[in-house]
Amino acid sequence: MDDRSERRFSINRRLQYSVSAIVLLVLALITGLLLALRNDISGAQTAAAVAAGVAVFALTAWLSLTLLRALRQPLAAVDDVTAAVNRGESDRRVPRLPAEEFDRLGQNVNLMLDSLSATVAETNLQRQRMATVVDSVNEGIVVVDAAGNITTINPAAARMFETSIDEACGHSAADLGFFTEDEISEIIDRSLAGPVQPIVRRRGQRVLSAAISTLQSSGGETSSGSVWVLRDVTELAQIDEMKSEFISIVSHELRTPLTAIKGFTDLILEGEVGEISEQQREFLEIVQSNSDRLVALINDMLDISRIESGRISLTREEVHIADAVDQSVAALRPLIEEKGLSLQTELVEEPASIIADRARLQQILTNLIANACKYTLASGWITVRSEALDGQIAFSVSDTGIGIPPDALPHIFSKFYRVDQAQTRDVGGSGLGLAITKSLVEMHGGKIAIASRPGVGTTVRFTLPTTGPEDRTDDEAFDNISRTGLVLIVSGDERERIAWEVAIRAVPADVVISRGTSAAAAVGEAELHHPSVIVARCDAGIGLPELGELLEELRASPNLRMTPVVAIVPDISSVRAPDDGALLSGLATPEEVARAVSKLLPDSAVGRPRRGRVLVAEDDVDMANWMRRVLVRNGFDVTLVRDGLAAIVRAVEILPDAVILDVNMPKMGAAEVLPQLLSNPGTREIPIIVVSGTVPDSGPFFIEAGASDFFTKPFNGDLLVRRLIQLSRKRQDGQGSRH
Amino acid sequence: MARVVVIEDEPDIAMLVATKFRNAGHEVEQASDGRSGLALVLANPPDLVLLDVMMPSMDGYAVCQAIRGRFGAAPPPLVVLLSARSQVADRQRGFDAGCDDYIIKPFRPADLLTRVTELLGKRVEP
Repeated sequence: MDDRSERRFSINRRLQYSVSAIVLLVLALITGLLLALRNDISGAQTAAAVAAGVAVFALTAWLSLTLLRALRQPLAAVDDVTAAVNRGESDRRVPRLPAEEFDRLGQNVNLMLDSLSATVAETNLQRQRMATVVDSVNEGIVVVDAAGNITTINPAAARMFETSIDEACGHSAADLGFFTEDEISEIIDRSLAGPVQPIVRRRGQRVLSAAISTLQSSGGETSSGSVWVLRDVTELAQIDEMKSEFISIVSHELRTPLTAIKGFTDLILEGEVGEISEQQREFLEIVQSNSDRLVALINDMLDISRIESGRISLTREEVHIADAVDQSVAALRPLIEEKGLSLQTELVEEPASIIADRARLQQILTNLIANACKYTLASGWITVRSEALDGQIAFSVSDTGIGIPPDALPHIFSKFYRVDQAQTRDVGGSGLGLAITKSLVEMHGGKIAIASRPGVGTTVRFTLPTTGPEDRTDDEAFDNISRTGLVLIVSGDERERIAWEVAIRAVPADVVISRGTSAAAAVGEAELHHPSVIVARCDAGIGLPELGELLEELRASPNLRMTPVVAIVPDISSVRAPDDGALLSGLATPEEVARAVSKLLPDSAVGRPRRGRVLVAEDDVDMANWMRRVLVRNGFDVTLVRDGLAAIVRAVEILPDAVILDVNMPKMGAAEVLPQLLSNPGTREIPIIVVSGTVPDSGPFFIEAGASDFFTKPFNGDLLVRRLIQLSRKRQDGQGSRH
Repeated sequence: MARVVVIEDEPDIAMLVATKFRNAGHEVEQASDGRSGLALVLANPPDLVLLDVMMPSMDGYAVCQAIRGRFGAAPPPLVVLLSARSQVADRQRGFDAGCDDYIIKPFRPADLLTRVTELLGKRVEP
């Protein structure tokens, strides 16, 4: 379009000319008319005036028409082009226009259209590039809008979900069969709050890992959908499985020949196949100790592989700290004695125990104490300490050993790291011990640190939360240990067995039926299943065992002597009720049987109100732990002490709701503790239960002396719990009436 | 003196265990796979079964369960599992199958004998 090749006009100028001409003509007309009025008007003059008027009218009309056309034509041209561009004919442009003003307008519109189409072209190019990228990556990409519908899905994702792009787009993302609708909205909510860990899931034969990010709306507060980036990790998952399988197989394959090597060496060393010379013994002992090293190495490798693959899980339970330390020390006693080391322990009394994985805690302690032994020269010292922090227990193992050079300290917890020192070369080990120890401490929610000075010694200190990792309460941990509600049914009548089973299952509790009905058979079944309660019809008249016989058999078994029995007997008055359990008449309905059972089942710990604090003074560790476990499971808080003096001190200090005293304890027995507690105004009202393992006849003595009850070990835990609840209720009632 | 059946597919381990128990004065019979071992036990119930866990065709768990199922609550033979599988879950599986003890390889023959003698003692006494 060449500006100069066409002639332009200006509407403005044309208007000016036209108006000037009209004004001149009107002036001429008026002048003519005035002249005509002054002089007499001739016919010719009149004609001239009329002609002039007509001329003015014609000129005005022509001018209007011209103007109209000059305005309409260019406007229509601009209108045409913009409409065409809107329709998509993006290369249409406004032609050169005769009127200058409109031409400028048209050219400006053209410039805008040019830049617009350039921008669109650029955007399209970028979009195409992005689309190519999205289409060609191996990762599956799915874009989901706020309503949960798929707006974009790339070919890789379509392949993963065995669909096509056309089929999937516009449909609900839940149709892909990976996340449900609820999950999709939940994931969006969560990812708004922060980054979400990739979610790994199996879909059909494949294992997919999905990383989710949220598309935030312009305000940033709400979501306008999500983007899923998916990876097919099937091979990785398979490799991981193969790795674990491999290690498991290798360890089995290594253990079997090692059993033979160690076993036969043992047989020869023990002289089972004849005398051996001193040198033969020495050499066989070398074989022995090297096979031990191999076994330790295999165990460490298994551990580290399980830790790394996340396959290790902790079994949390209440662990008595002193026991754990004692057992670890006992395992290393030969090594300690062989090197002539002195080991001392300084342990906190309270809390006396911790919620942890018993075997793993011992492994941690054993690893650290064994390290201390290895790197401490003859006649050195090792100290194992524990101290209570806020909600945590800190353990430390210190030695007066050779120490660790400063430059080695940062690597000391790394896998296979060994300090390269002449002194340590002859010390065996896999180089995995500290790495495993650190992982185990961290799995418990604790921390570990090390300090050392060459030639002076080393201290490793680690902390463990007393209640295990924070997301669990000790109630939950206990809940996992024993929330058994298994009932063994012994009866000769099939219909009765079924009726009982139905009623007991409704309690709810699990049920096993004894296959035999003799006392021995019932106890055999009980040995197999360890039921919480035994329900038995006892009637010698119809070939069933007598209650006395059944109880005798049960008491003979160390595992079963605490098991309560619900006995259904022909005549209640003729037999003595079992200490633990209930006696029902032969006519008892299944519902009555179930009710009796439900009272004897261990309480579940969940959602139970706290029932107060019990101070347990018991020096036998197993017994103390058992009582603590039973009480905690039933909603009591428990403070353990291990001697009579501590019992008095703690009772005055914490004013418990009840005290349980063992008869024989170090420093002071129950006979001395009892009067002290009863004479102290603060503790006078506290109910006291005395438990005894050795002097069953002393019951009346203690009741006389003011004890609320007397139990002879072994006793039923549920019985103790019921008595404590009774006592605390009585005490509350008493207090209530006084107020 | 007790009658002992050793069910173990590894001949060396079987010989090791058998030697230790024979030397201790027990009467030992051997089987090299689960099925023939089970047949041996059922045909003439011994006092004790020493049972390897990882065996082809019928593993130790299955044999143990079969023994328990067969004898029910009648005084059954003691079953002690011997296994290279050391995880808690493996042991649990053993006890679920009804074994009296679960001993991890490698074990010292003397320790095995001590533990088993203890179990046998409990069985005989009451």
